[in-house]
Amino acid sequence: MSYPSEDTLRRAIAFLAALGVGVATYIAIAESGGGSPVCLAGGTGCRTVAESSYSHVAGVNIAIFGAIGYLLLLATAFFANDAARFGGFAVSLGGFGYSVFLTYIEIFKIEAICQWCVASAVLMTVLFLLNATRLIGYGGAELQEAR
Amino acid sequence: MSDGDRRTKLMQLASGAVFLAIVVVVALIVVNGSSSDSAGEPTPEAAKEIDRSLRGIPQRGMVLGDPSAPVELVEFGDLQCPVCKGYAEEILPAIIENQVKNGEVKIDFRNYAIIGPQSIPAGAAALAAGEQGRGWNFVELF
Repeated sequence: MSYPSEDTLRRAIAFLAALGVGVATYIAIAESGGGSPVCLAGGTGCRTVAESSYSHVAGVNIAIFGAIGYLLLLATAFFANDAARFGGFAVSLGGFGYSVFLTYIEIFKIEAICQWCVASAVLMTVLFLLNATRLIGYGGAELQEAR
Repeated sequence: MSDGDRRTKLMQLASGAVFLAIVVVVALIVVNGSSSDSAGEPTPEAAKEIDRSLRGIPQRGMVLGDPSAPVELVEFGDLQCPVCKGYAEEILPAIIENQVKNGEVKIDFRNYAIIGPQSIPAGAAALAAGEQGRGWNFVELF
């Protein structure tokens, strides 16, 4: 099976992780003063989600954890070794799993959808797929073979 | 260690991580699915506290306060609305304590169901409680 070159995968991961840093940082800043992100299509979904008890873990806004996760993913894109490949896979797996949980919570518990959270979940899902492809395609390969 | 060995070890680690992630996510969903969000849930203690705060204030339908109060405050609210919740928790208690209890103000709650289909039975239940002279106990508890 042929995979995209590792350089292509790393560029895509870096681009999407940078977008993710932007989205998570916006959510964290918007909620920092007790407010909420602005839903682009109107509605109160973002406010309802921001005011729910699920928006914080141990008193820390989960968007801050998200921003840290995206920064770690961005960092892994700068290295072509097994530590970066597995690190990127593990962080994106954690982010993807938590996004699945949060989407479940939004739909079935809070009964409100925040577009910014959906955007982050989609980014994390694509990042997980890219990192999984990178690990499966190039894990264990020497640097020169990976290019 | 050869490339092949390293690759096998990486794949084993990745498989373990995927298995662990699935277990954690399923556990989180099961735990959160079985336990309700108690933060906003009515409890007998909360009902007693509301009874205490409204004790002695006349209630007629959805109007709280002395019917002959010179000032009438009309609230159009949705029982699911988070902004109305903020108003009920941060602003309303002081009005009830300082202006309604001494007969200066009466408050008329009018259902304005805009959030979703569940707002309608919630509003109907409030009106039914109002018929029994406890409409505001219901609204405050909700």
